Amino acid sequence: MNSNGRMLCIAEIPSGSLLAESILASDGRVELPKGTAVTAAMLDQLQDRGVTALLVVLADEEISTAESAIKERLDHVFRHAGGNQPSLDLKRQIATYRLAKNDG
Amino acid sequence: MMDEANAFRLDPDAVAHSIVKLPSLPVIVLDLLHSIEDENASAEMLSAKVASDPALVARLLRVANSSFYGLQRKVSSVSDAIFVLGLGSVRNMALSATLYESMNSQIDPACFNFKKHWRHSMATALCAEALAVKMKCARDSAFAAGLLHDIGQLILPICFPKHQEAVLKYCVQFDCSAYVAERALLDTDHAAIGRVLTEKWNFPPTLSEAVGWHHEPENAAGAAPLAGVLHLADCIVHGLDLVDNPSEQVPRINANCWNQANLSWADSQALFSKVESGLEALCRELAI
Repeated sequence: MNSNGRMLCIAEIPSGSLLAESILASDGRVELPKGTAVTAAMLDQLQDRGVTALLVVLADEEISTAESAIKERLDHVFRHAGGNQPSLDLKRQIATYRLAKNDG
Repeated sequence: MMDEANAFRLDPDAVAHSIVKLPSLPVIVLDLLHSIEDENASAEMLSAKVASDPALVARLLRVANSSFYGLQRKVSSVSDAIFVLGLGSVRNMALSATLYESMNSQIDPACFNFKKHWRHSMATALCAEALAVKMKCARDSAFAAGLLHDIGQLILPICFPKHQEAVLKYCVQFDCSAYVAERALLDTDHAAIGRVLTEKWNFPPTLSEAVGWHHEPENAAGAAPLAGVLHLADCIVHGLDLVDNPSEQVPRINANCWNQANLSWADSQALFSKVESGLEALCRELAI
């Protein structure tokens, strides 16, 4: 991960954001490791358990620091997608896929 | 712009009649498409149909024995391939190989880049097949619909070259998709034209309807699930940017279709990988 992350309220965290530090259970065991892409269901469960904020790296921040060429191309390809939630989600998912392939 | 729009308006009857100028479809394509919805279709029937074309048999066996399927043992006949891979997979392979071979040999590359068109269609077929499971739709119908969803794009360059030229010019001038340009200039679009063509070719009605509404799945009453799968697969494949197209663009994604697919992060990563690797393997083995 190329960034130290930022502390955000659970409600402000978009699904797909990456944990900037591991989440530990009460017995000290690692429940969700650093770098996990959080889902809406995970965020709901954490909120139900009283967690109010998390240190995360937003997917978009991760992209911009990792590979600007991939991001630029995706911005171009998604320029007429309308910016609704499905297009934002798909763009983030493809960005993660392309970056993982790029790293691999 | 209005004058130009009126000048290029396309009459649906003219489109329907222009089908005679299009490449002819081998009879086996129609047989294969109808067998998808035929509950009595058997491995023996499919083997017999495919066996009548030795070149097709050779291609099928090459794909069946390729890394795409990663089989432990060599497949040596069509019936053996059906036994190991299943009726649906072999039928999809036969459809892909036959349609590509027939169209590519008859279309002038100076007139239309069929290879690029086919790469997008194959990728959409693979993606639609995978999405069909999540969206409760028949996998084989989804694959066939993916292969054929943009078939209406063939008609402009072949039958109405001046209209095609105007559409391409409009796309560049306004940086828009062919679909948007077609709606603005022709008062119709390649999806609607595809529906007319596939109806004329006597394709299964659900398939024709899904092809016709793949840009507006909310209007596909009878074929809503298949049109939804097709729409989403088309959007995802445009997003994956698999065809060397500098002006590639993702259309607006229908939120209902997206929500219905309910792709988790892991689902989407597996889907992208499956489509991309499947496309490369199939294109390599089918020499596309």
